[in-house]
Amino acid sequence: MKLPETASNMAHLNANAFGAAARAALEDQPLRSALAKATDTFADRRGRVLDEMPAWEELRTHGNAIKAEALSRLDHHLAHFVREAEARGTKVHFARNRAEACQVVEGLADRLGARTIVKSKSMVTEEIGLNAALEARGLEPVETDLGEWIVQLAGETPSHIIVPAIHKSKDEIARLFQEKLGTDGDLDAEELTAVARKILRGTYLEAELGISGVNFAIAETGSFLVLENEGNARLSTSLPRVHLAVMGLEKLLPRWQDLETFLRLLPRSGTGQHLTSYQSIFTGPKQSPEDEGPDEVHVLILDNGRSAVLEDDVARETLACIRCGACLNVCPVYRQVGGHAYGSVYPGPIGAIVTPQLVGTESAVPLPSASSLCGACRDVCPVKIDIPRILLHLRGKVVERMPTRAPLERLGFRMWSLAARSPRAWRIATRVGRPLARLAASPSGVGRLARRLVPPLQGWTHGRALPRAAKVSFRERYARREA
Amino acid sequence: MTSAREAVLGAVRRALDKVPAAPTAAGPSPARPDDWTAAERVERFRAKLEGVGGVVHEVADAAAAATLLGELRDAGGWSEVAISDEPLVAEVTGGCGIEGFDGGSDRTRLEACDVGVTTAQFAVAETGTLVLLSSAERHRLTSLLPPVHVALVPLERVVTGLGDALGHARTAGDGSPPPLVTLITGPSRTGDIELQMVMGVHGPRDLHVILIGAAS
Ligand code: SF4
Repeated sequence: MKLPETASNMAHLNANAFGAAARAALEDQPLRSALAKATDTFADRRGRVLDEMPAWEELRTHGNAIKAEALSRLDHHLAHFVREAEARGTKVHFARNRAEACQVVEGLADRLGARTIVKSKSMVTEEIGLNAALEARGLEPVETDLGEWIVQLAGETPSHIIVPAIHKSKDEIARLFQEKLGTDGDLDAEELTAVARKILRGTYLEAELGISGVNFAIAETGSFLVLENEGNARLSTSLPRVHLAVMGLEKLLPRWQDLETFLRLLPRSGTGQHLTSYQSIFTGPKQSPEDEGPDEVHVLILDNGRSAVLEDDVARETLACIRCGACLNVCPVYRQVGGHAYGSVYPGPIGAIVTPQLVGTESAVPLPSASSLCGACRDVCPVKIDIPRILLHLRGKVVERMPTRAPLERLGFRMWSLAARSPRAWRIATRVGRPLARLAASPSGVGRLARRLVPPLQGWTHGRALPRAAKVSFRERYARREA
Repeated sequence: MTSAREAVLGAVRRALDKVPAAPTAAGPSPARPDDWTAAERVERFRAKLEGVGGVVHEVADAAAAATLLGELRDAGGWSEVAISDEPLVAEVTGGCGIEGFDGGSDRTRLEACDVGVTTAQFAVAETGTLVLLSSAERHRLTSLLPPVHVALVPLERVVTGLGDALGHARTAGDGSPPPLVTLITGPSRTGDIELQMVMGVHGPRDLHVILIGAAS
C-alpha cells in the first residue's frame, strides 16, 4: 500500500516510514544501548522521587482536573490571557498554521534588524520548522540548550523530548566538535560542555532576539512559565533586547495557583527531580529603563490543528499533555526504536497520538499502531491521559479513512464474527483451518514460504515463532473421552 | 480578511460549542507540606539544596555573614564581585571590604567577573528553592552570568512550601506578578552528554546560600 509522504503542517514529517525506520533502529546496537540507559535512568529517578511523595495520585487527579477545566473553556481562558498579558505590556500574536507562525517571527526579526537569534528549547518551534524558515532569510537561529545545540551542529533532529542528543555518544560529540569547531577530538563531557558555554556566551550577548517556549501560561495574570536546568532559557530571555515566547494554544492554566500542582508534577515525571534548577515566570516587559531584561515581550499562540482536536470528545485530552517525557521512558516500543523512527517532532506514545491529529491520520498511518497497548504510558502520565484509548480511537479513524485497506480486513473480521457466533461454523472453520495453521507453523519449506508471503503472518512471525496448533483440538479430545 | 487572532479564537469557540464546561479545579494543591517549625524548615532547605549541589551556610548576623563571605572570597580567589541593589548585599559585601559593582548595569564587566551576590525574597524548605522577585531586587543578570552565585537570606524569609512563596509573588508587583519571578534550585546543570551530570553549563557552577540569623 502506498502512503502519502508529507503533510504541510509539521516540519521534518516522515511518520509513514515508521516501519522501515523502526527496523533500521532495531539493527543499531549502540543506539539501543544508549536508549536503554537513558530510559532506565529516568524511569528509576522518577520512581525514587515518587517514593517521597505519598500524595502522588491526588496530585495527578488535580493536574488532570485543572487541564480538563482549562480545555473545556479554552476560548474563555485564551481571551482572558490575552487581556491580562496586553494590560501588562506583552504583545500577543496568533497564528493559524505553520506558515503564519513563521511569518510572525520573520516580521519581528525584520523590524529589529536581527541577525543572530538565540533559542531555548521549544518543541513548537520544531513543529513549525522555524529554524529552516529563518535560515532561508539569511538569519542565524542558534539553539542554546546543550543537547539541542549538538543536534543543530550535526544537522540532525532531536530524538528525545528531554535529552535531545541521546542518540549520540560522547565520542561522536567530541568528533563533531572537532570537525565543526576545531577542538581536540578527545574531549570529555566536562570539557565539551565548557566549549559550549564559552561559544554560546558570546552568542547571547550579540543576539537581538531571544526565543523561548512556554511550559505553562496563566490566564488570570497573563504570565507564562519556562522551566529548565541549564540556564540557557534564562540567558536567552534576559540578554537580547526582545523576548518572544512561542506556545501551542493548549498551554493555558486558569489560575496562578495552579502552577503549584504542575511544578510538583512536571519535574518529577520528566527528569525525576523535585524541581529543575530554574523556573522563570514572566509577566510583561520591564517597567522602567533602569530595570533589567528585554524592552519588549511577545507571545505567539499557535493553533496548527489543535482547535480541531478540541472538538473530539475522546481525543481532546491529548491537549492536556505537559511534555514531560515520562511516557517515552516506559514505552516498550520507544525504548527499542528511539525517537527518530516516529518521523515526527513528537515521538513515543504521546507522539503516536499527537502527530496523527496534527497532520491528519493519513499522513501518520502507522503511528496509532506503534504500540502494544500495554498501558504503561497511561499509568505514568502526570495528567492521566488515557493514551491507549486514544490510540484505539485513532486506529478506528485510520481504517475509516483508508478504504483501500479496509475491505480485506473487514471481510476477515466478518468471517471471524460469523464463526464465533455459531458453534457449528466454528467447528468447521477450525477443522479446515487447523491443518493450514500447522502447515504455516511447520519448519518445512511451504511453512517458511507461507510465513514470508501470507499477510498478516509476516508481521507476526518477523520476530517470533508461530505457535503450532495441536493435531487434535481440545473439543475433539473431550468429545472422544465422553464416548 | 479575518485576522489570525479572530480566526483562532473563533475556531476554538466553535470546537467547544457543544462541550459542557468541566467543573472548576480551583483550590490548593494537594501534597502541600504541613507547617514546619523554623528549625525544621532550615533543616529541610539545607537537605534539599545540598542534595542538588548547592552549599548552605548558617550565620548569626550580617557581620558574621561578612566574615564568611570574606573567607569564601579568599578561598575562591575572587577579585571582581557583582552585587544587586538590595541594601543587605551592600552591607555584607562592604563588611568584608569587597567593593562590588552593580551587576545590573555593566554587562561586559559582569560577564568577566568572578561572583554575583544577591539576596532572595524567599527560600522554600520543601524543595530547597530560592525565589527572587524583580520587583524587590535587580537579580536577573547578577544571579546568572557569573560562575558563582551567592545568595544572602535572612532566616525569616525561609518558608515551608512553594505555595507560600508563589502566593506572595502573585501580587508582589503592585497587585500583579512582577515582570520576572525566578526560582533557583541548585547550580546550572546538564546531563545532555551521555547523561553525565556537568555543573555550570550556562549559568553558575557554584551556588552558596548564606542563611542569616540562625543560631549557629
Ligand atoms: S502524555 Fe503524559 S506522560 Fe507523555 S509526555 Fe505528555 S504529560 Fe508526559
